[in-house]
Amino acid sequence: MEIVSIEVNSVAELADAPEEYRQAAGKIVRSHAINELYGAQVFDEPAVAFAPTPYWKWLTCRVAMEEYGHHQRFFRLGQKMGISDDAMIPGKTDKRPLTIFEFTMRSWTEFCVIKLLADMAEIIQVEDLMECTFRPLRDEAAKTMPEEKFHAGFGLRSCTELCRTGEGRREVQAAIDALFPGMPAFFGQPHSKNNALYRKWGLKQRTNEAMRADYLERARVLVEDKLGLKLPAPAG
Amino acid sequence: MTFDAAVVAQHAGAIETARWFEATGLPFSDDERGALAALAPRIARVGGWAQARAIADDTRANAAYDAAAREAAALRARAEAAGGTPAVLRALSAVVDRGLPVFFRCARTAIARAGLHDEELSRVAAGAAAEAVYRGALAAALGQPAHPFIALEHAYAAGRWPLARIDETLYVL
Repeated sequence: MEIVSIEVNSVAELADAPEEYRQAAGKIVRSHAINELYGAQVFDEPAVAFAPTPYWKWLTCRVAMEEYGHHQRFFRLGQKMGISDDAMIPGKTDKRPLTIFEFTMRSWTEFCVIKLLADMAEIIQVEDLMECTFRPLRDEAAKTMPEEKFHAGFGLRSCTELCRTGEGRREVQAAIDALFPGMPAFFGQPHSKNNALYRKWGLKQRTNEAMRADYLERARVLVEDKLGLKLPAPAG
Repeated sequence: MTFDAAVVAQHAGAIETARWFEATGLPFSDDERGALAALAPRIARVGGWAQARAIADDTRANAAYDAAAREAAALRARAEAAGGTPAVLRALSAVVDRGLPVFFRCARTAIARAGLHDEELSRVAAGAAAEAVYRGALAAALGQPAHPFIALEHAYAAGRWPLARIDETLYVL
């Protein structure tokens, strides 16, 4: 596959980049703006009601704010790149959020498992962006990473706490069984044309398949080694 | 009833200059006692951040929290009926935008001053402050200056963390 050597240091420089590069960078920024906001809307905000005490409600409220803040980062970058506001807002654009957000969250335990497994997937995506050739995107990825790591760490701590009782362990396992099979789809299709384009321009470093394999191993470590539970097979 | 988005903007604009968490752990002044008395029949001072988690994590605090959440939802519905959902959302997102860096920074500073380092507790406190300003701004924008949400927001802005109301007692750090 052709790999083009390029480094774009600012949004102003982006104007001089090839059209294919600009389109590809725009797609990534849009995708992050849409999915960060949608995730906060369907998981984090509703989870405040499920949280067991004010302590966890306020923590969840803060996590929702941080996810919204991630949307704002990518949204503002998109605006500077000339992407229309509506193209970055779920419900206003025809671009659909990721399928993982179709999961219907019904409990606090499911929210904790979402933080454990879905935020780990996000970390893998953001790690890849931290190497990307479009510096403004790289910078935004670096700024979101500490919070993403905290969110995933919160998922692990809360699931560990829940697993202290037999009933809690069963609930966490049930939530993993319900959520996890759909998670690998987060990384897109194998042999993706979009991913090939992103790698051609150095906007992404790894294939969808490589990120998916990395995710499966990290999820196995979390679920089996750290929580002592069983990771189900991925769908498809 | 009208929803005044400019009032929400005033609350959001005041976030940068308030004293978030600065008075935590200190004795109450007479003025503070008077202001807090409007929020519950009995006020109990919590001596330090180390005790904050246990109090905020007490399930007995859920009844008062849930009642406040229901009241907030009712206010939000009234605001949306009066001002339209997009306008209300736009106005209230300013509270999130302005508060996002400020509340966390102030909570972390106060916790560090107490000799602790706790990223989770910093976030819990930041979430609590954000919620208080959001609700206070909502009540004020609906023209309810005597609403308890506004008194609660003032307590936060004056440097306190009202942690939990359990029965008749409000525990304040």
